[in-house]
Amino acid sequence: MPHYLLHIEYLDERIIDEEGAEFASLDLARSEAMAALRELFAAAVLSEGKPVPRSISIYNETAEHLANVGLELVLPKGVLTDW
Amino acid sequence: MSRSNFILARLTDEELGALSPHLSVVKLVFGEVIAETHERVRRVYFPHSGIISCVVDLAGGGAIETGMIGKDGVCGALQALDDKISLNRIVVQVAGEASVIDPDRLRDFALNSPNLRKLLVKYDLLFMAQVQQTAACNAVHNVRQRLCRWLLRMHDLQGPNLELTQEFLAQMMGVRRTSVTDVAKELQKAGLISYKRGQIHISDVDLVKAWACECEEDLKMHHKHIFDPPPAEQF
Repeated sequence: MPHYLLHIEYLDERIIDEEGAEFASLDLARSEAMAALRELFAAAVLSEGKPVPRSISIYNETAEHLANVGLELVLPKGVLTDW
Repeated sequence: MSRSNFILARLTDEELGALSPHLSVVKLVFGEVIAETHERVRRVYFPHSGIISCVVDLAGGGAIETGMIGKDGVCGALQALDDKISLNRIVVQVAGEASVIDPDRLRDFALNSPNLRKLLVKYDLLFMAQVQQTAACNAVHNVRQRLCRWLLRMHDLQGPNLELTQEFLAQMMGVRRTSVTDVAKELQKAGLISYKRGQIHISDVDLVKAWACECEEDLKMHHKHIFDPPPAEQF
């Protein structure tokens, strides 16, 4: 099964996913990235001062960039109007 | 070796001597399923090292750890005293060793030993407290506090070097792996831990304690009240 790395993108920092995980397809990796971004966003909103992640970048094991999942894909329409 | 386990260590020499011929030592292998939900408990485990987790499987495919048993406890004892059925999945989370005994033998001994019976009931009380604390912790505390609490417990049971993947940690905590990646990096940057693909080293346990929620300390207080109460509180 293909191995994907999900790096977390903040405004001024990238959190590297050193471990990665296996998914049957890129679509499934993208679905996981969306769910993960929702969870990270919720944690940031509930915390005091934790930065909000902007997106998750999906890479394969050979460091090839495959996809990007941004907040606009996971939040309800209108939330990011003033972003 | 049996004395490495807190419960067995509290037996008198005479009691442990009588129990010993029925105890054998086994390896706890990482990932080994000790019992499935609603399956009969075949052996009672008194860990000397390693960690056993009680895991609740959810319909959506996820799972979450609700209780952790190490050298300070026993796994399957209460089931041995009753109908021997496990109510959730029990899995080895960290490899180690344990003394094991047939549930029927333990039941026979417990029926004739008030001290052993009392120890098993006291541990069950503590385990119930752990599960209740975990329910409250999962509902209220954030992933960073919970991960630090979890690391504190692991440090107490296993020391500072832990072989654990983020995937596994995420499953145990009921969060997505990416949340563990995010928090682990934060802990690493602040000098609490160092992490390299499946190897976690706790560098500063005092800082981990400072960043954790109060749950682990509360459980230590419960442990003291249950096993070493002041004379006025003894039962």
